[in-house]
Amino acid sequence: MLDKPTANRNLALALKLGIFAALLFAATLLVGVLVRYG
Amino acid sequence: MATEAHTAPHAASARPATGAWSWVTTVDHKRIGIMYLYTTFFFFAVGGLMALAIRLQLEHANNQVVSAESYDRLFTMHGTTMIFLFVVPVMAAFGNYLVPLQIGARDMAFPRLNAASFWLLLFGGMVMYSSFLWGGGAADAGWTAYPPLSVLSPGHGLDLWIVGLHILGISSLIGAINFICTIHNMRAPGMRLTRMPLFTWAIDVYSIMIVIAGPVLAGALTMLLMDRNYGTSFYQPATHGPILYQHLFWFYSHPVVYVMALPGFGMISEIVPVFSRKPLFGYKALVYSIVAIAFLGFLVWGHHMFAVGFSTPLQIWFMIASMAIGVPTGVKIFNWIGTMWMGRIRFEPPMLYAVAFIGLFMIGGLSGIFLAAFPIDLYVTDSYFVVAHFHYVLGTVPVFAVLGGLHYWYPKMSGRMLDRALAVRAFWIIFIGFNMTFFPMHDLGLSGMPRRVSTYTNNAWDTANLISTIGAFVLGTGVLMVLWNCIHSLRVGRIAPADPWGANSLEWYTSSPPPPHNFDELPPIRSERPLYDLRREAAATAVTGD
Repeated sequence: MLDKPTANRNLALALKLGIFAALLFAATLLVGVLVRYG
Repeated sequence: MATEAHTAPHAASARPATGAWSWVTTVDHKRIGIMYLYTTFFFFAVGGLMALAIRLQLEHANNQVVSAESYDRLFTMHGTTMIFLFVVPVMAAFGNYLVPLQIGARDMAFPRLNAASFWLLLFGGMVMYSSFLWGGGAADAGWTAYPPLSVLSPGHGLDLWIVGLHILGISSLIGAINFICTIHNMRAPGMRLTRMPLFTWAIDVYSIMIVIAGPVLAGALTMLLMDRNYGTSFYQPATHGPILYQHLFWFYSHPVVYVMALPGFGMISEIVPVFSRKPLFGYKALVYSIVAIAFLGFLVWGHHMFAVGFSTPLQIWFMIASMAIGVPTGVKIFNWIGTMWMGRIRFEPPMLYAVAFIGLFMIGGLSGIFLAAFPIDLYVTDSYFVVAHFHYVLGTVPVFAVLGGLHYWYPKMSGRMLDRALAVRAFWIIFIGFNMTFFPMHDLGLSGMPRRVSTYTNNAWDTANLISTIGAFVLGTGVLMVLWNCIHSLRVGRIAPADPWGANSLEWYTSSPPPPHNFDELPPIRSERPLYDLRREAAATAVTGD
């Protein structure tokens, strides 16, 4: 088992990276919408 | 760094569970890595068979081995399979197995997520290949799937291709996040970033690139799926939609070239010093060059689009930025040669692959310089010169870096040594077959043979195409010999010691194969070569008798 501080650091970093990736995905769609319909 | 206790039960008292179900339910990074290896090499074999069918079709002018429609599906699925189902995930296979061992960790940061990442890879591949069973057949718009062709492609083959890629994208994204968390939070005491093995460095950068580039491809493919099925028109030609797609596609797909290449560089950086019996020349320069290649890799996507007709300043920018990547790449090659220089080189099979990789990758790098120059690119774009270039760049990674890595780490993974004589014979057959297959394509491209055509009428191209086709079968024979060696040696290979090569990094400290908990104890880590430090201390103790 991991110690709790390491597990928390893992979770925090994973969440940040996941949110970053989701924002990039949304930004790509936004670029598509703006170029085509903007 | 992790503060987890690294001492664990003795290896003998912690035997791995056996049986098929224990593999299906495993969350052990080593078993997941091995399942990745089996899966990716299966897809490698399938992609290779498609390549043989392509080469048979092109063996001489006006050939009719397969129909034009089947040919389109074959080269589309060959490219897709090799990139998304072999080269990218095979790096995750080695990463899964090796990264926790190389940094002295017990497992990955998220073991269950790690298992999910593997099963999604398998599922994504199955979804993609299920398109062969539909009436319309598999995807047929090339691995780039440019609109308007991909929007208009009939049937559901391309839809399944997109959905399959989405699943593979999620697999590689969560795998990448897992690698980043593991490398940044789980290193053993003493394992600073500046002491990490080069392969782990490469997997870290590979993962960061996937997190940045992957979502952009996912967005581009989502819009393609909507254009095909839900009446949107993101990619309609009237509003330059196809050019938008190309920008988004290459923003992902040029970095993915380095996603595939950098872990290969990492493997070579592990092999060369061990078999040169010298420290790696310029460790920090190699780390900086990995990071520089990744950074520059995000600035050069437009060199795939010179034929679109950019303004001249933009073309000059993409040309100079692309050529700039040659600088950190040159640093790596210089450092590998510097490592070998005056070394006592042992030409064991992993080193043969590494040396071949360096030489052949340079050929691909040099033709890349030609293609980065837009006046030349416009002349040879979409010709076989480009096919020759990217096989010397991306073909050398799986064939020479990955097979070199497989020969290097096979004893650690299996506990057995490969048959050396068979491995050397297979290497030379692969080396000859690879060059016979791809070198003539330079000449074919320069004399005007276009890529992605199912046949041609110019008999002047027959001889080069015949050599290339024979070479493909020679190459396939060599790869089969490697696979046979791996399977056969599992039963009859000599038992491998913990460190058969006199290596430097932590994975060689534990038994071959490692116990489920990886390490009974860890050695002190005071440099990037902890095992060399141990051997040196042992030798000093033996001399002084202390």
